[in-house]
Amino acid sequence: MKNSSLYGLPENVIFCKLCVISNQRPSSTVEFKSSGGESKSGISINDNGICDACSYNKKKSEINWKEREKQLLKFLEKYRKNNGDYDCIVPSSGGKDSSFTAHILKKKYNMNPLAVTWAPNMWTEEGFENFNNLSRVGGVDSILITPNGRLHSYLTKISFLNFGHPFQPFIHGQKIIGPKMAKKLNIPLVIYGENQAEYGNKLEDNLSHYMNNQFFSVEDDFNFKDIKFGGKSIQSIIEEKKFNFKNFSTYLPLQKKEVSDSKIQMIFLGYFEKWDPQECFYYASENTGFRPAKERSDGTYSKYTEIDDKIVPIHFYTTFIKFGIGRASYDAAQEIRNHKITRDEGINLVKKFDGEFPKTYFKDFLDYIEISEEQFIKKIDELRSPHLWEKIKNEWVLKESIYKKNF
Amino acid sequence: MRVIARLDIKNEDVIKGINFEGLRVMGKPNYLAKKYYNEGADELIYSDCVASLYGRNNLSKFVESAAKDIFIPITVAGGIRNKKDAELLMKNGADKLAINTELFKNDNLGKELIKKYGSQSILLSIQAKKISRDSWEAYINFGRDRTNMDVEEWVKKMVPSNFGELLLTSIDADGLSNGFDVELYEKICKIVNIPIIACGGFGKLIHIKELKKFADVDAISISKALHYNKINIGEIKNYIKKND
Amino acid sequence: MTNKIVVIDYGVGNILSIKNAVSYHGYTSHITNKKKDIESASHIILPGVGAFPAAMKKLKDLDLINPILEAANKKTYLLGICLGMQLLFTNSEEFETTEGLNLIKGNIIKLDKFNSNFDSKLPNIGWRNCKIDTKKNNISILKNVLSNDEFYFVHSYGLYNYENDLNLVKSNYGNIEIPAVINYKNIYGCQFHPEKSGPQGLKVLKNFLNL
Repeated sequence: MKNSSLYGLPENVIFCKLCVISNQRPSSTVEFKSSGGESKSGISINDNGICDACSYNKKKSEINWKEREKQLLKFLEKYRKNNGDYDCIVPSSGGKDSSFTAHILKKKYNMNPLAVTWAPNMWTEEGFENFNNLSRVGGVDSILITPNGRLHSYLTKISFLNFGHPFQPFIHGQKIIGPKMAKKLNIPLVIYGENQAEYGNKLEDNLSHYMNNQFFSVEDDFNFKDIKFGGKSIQSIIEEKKFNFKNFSTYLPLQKKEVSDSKIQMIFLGYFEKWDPQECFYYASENTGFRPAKERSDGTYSKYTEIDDKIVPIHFYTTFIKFGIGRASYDAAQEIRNHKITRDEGINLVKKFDGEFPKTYFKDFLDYIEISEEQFIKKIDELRSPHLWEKIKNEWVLKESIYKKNF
Repeated sequence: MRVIARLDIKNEDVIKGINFEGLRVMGKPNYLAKKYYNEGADELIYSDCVASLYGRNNLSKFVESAAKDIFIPITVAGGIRNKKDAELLMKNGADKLAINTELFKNDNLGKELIKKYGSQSILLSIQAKKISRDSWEAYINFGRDRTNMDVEEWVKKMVPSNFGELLLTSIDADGLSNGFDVELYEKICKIVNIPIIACGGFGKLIHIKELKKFADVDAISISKALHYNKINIGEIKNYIKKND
Repeated sequence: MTNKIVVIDYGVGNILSIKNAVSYHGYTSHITNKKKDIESASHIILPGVGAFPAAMKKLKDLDLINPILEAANKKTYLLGICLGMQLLFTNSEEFETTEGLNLIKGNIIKLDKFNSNFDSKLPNIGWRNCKIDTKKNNISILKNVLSNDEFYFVHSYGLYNYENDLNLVKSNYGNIEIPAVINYKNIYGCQFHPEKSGPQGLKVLKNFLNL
């Protein structure tokens, strides 16, 4: 039977029995090698109906965190500098998780971190406040790298128009900026907060504190001009547009050889600390001047998750269209696993908020990538996989949703 | 000045957030309510913080069991949409009800409930967020949604309904223990003549002095400082007596 | 004679709290609006929250006025709480001048009329003590109540005119004095809510139940 999923994801939508995520949730990919059209692998749901993220979450409760902390202390000893030099880089968005990471490394673990921020597409007011407060209130030194806005918005535009993935250029930069700055500044340790594997990449990814280097570096013989944004290679962008190759220097990942020569290590603090995003929120509120957004973000009930970039709501809207999983689903799944809300509450939250149109920053987004509302709607509708969507009385409706199934 | 202990309740737990976000569990409602009663609380506020999610207030059973052996006034807030919701709570031992969100849909609800239960039993609850140097915006759904309504304007519009008290909560100060939003109370005290309960931000005794200097509020509502055992009610009441 | 404690339920007031407060002292209360229960009661509690005219109308509609008057005349102990206390008197000017039970002569007026310079907020909501002279106190339900015990008040109207032979204790609010506890023969009234005034309120209630 032909798979009618636009993205090669499983034809049958299955929801996890413990959280609200479905098997349509795509795993992280190496974005810059993607030319589009490849099948995506979705999160696994095992024979007991439990997704990988929930399985890992169960394992988390069995981990001896005291042991892990001992390991962390031993590990950090090798890198700690007491002469005033920075001894680690913390890639930071100014959000709760990175603020927690940077501050706790400084305060509790006596490291001298330099927070490195890859600028969001468009700062929200609270995002910029929180970013500044990490330094002002949290006492952490930081640097901000803002890429060439004309190029970045162009890359965002083609990523949206080709893949319906406006966030791709941002994610690309965010993944590589830590190691790049580590090499430039001669700081051999990069410490991330959470391992994305917690949310359902391959379980094996969680077994190490090291980040899989395929995400941030390339083979030594890799041609940089083959790096793709929205499926378009740098080479073809150069040929078409008014950008030169040198404009792309911020976007070029390190080569594996560079990484090994400079002995840079990339680890996840989340391997050593029992990660709880909401507790990170509390910690950051109390220590780094973090404040939640004024109101809940479009598409969710939450005020403290990913509030730095105006296009985040658009991003989650596209995940809702492409995979049937909106922002409320992501937030609820996380809070269910961390025992903040029950699954039943999660289902109600998804029912109430998932897929809400991202009206707050919609105009900003259209202006940013210079498209019209019609172009936006047209693209959105192209993204709807027939195995997920049907039209009922001229309205698009999800065929399957957790509150319809509710088992 | 009355000292009121506020319990934000989700399902079976008392929780406490920051800026109306976060669900950190603090303990069980009945245990904490009894504790604060024994410490000399003047009143209790039971606030249902997920009422908007389920479309109703779910606190009647907590109120009922509290009323068995806690003999101080209990105010219930969160998700009171209509007379039926009100009746269920009053029947189960609530003394006062505080309403907010529903008023933005049905601004007569206050009058209806006041007619049935009397002014003194119905409170106007406002969750205020500062939007400029001297203006605040009213929020609903436990601080999650904006209304674009200026607080001062809203107060002026609603007070004629004859609410008995105004429960005025600062979203910005909530959960941070950094003091009350004094300017908010200073401004609103000048335009209403009903008792005002200041809620959000209490962390140290001196915060009360700072508040009283500028605003003639009649009561303070405290949660974080009590739940985290930073201070007990007896100390607060003594301080208030001494500084009167 | 065993006590029969009746709490009149006429659809007004927080009956549950009164019931719980009575149980707290080990007594059972009968929540009722039946004439025969009132007739056979040893102690009657008349609660009240809300407006005077509406309350009197409810009593009238439920045919409770005569049973209460008869019980009072029979020397049954009667305790009016808050609005319930106000109902014991001649009339009130809340909304429109309405006649009360007139068991005791007196008028209920709005607190801001007590004194032309009155400038406090209404309702009077808060914990206030009563001006009890422990040596001279002869109101039995105030036995063992201290002059600094505070009670929970929430009202906008109060007793203003009354006869000299009315036994009472007042409470301060702003620049006025409000009758807080009254007693006339077998009839008692609390302007405050003893069932909401913590341990000291329970003490007052206990004294009443022990009459």
